[in-house]
Amino acid sequence: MRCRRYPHSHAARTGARQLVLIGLGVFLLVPKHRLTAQAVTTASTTANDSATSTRIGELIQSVSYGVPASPAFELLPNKPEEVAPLVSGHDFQTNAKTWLDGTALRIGIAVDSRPFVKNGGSLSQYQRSTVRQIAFRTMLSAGTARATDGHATIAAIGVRIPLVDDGDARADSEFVQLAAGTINRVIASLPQPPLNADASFFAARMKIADKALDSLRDDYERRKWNARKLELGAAGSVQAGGTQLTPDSTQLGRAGFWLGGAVPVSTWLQLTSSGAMTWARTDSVGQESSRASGGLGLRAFPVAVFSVAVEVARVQARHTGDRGADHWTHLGTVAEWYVAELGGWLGAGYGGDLNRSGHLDRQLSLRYAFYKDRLLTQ
Amino acid sequence: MTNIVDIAIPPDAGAITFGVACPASPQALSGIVWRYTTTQQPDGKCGEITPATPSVPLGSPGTIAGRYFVLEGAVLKLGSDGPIPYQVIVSLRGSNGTAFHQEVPQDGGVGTVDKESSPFQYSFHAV
Repeated sequence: MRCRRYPHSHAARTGARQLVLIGLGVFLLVPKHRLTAQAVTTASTTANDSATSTRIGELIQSVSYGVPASPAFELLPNKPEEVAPLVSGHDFQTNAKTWLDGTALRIGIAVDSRPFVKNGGSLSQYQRSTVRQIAFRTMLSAGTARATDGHATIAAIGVRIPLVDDGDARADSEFVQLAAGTINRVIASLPQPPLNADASFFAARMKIADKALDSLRDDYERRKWNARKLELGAAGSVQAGGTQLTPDSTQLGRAGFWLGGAVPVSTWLQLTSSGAMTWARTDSVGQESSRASGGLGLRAFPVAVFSVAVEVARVQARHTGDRGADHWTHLGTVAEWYVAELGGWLGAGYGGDLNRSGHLDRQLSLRYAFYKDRLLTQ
Repeated sequence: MTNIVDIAIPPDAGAITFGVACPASPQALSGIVWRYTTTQQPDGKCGEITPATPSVPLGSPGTIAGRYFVLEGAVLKLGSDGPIPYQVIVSLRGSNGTAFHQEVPQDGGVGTVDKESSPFQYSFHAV
């Protein structure tokens, strides 16, 4: 994921303004339709501040879309800021031995690794075998955190399995050959090294060559931003009364299952679909015990200075003690464009939760804000 | 200073090829094989290693006798997929395809590719 460069040409700005007008037209039309169809709909605007931009972003983030990069961290009260990448499953096992201090579980552990990194085979074997690709790309994550009550300890473990990833550079033999040729071309253009050159001499030359590969990698990621993908994710957590991991004090906490897919519609448009189910152990009546959601989304980046995302999801939540389930529809639409003269992004968001009982945000609203860093990235 | 390995070339090996592989990890390798004279003077590029061409011809045992070769190789960083371990194996083969020398380069032959491509080198003297 990376931000696009911002072209500042007159033609680009003119094209962007036309798109902005179209985008605004869409925004203005949608609320009218919803106002007619849904009596609860209102429109509101707020001041241009960071809080508003955050709320705009939440319109397309409040429903879990796609499989989390590290599913285990979704089940912790706060996502860890730093994750230690472990190279292999063996490293994971070795690291796990340090999680315990006696029988007490250390807090603040956050690691991920590739458990089957040694099952990828050689590059040619990997490129020919879908099974090897899936095994190699599979990520295992684990973490611990203090529960929000300040006493209990939560430990979570999860797995993400990318079943399909057309943006996997390693599996793209044409790109790999191009990358190797690029490195070789740069190295061959340098003077032949002396026979007794040391490793630091070669490392310095490799840094020069790798810079040439940077632009190739960036270009590949830009071209493949909306590549076809299908991922599975699952995670579970346990909660201990204190930091001691004993059978008496430990009980199941939460569990989650995610399924996400994406297909390219055109070079600038992506269609995504997602499903998620989470369960939680509850202590009292009224607490949410499970939630299921499924939805579709569109993300468009027609020009570098304008982007739009539309997401619709159906959500069902069950609460302990309630026979029925709450159902609601989440709608989120965000458009933003880069205003070169102001050096930032002007964004507008429309959406909310429709027919969500007992929730303040059940109404649809329109918000706009000006901010420096874009919300939508490829 | 890079370690230079003396490798005895069988006189009946036929056309000699020098190859590089990473058999246990899906890593992309690249490299330039440089040639040196018997007096250790630079003598130009001998060939290029890529995933599609993992070996380069060196010549007959007679023509390479006494010469030096250096592989200036790289394990490529291809995407943003975190640290990936590797182990490179270099080999010298005769015309029948049988390897008469295989080795893991001491300089960078084992490691992890993470944020940038990793260099490795292998220098040898054909004796």
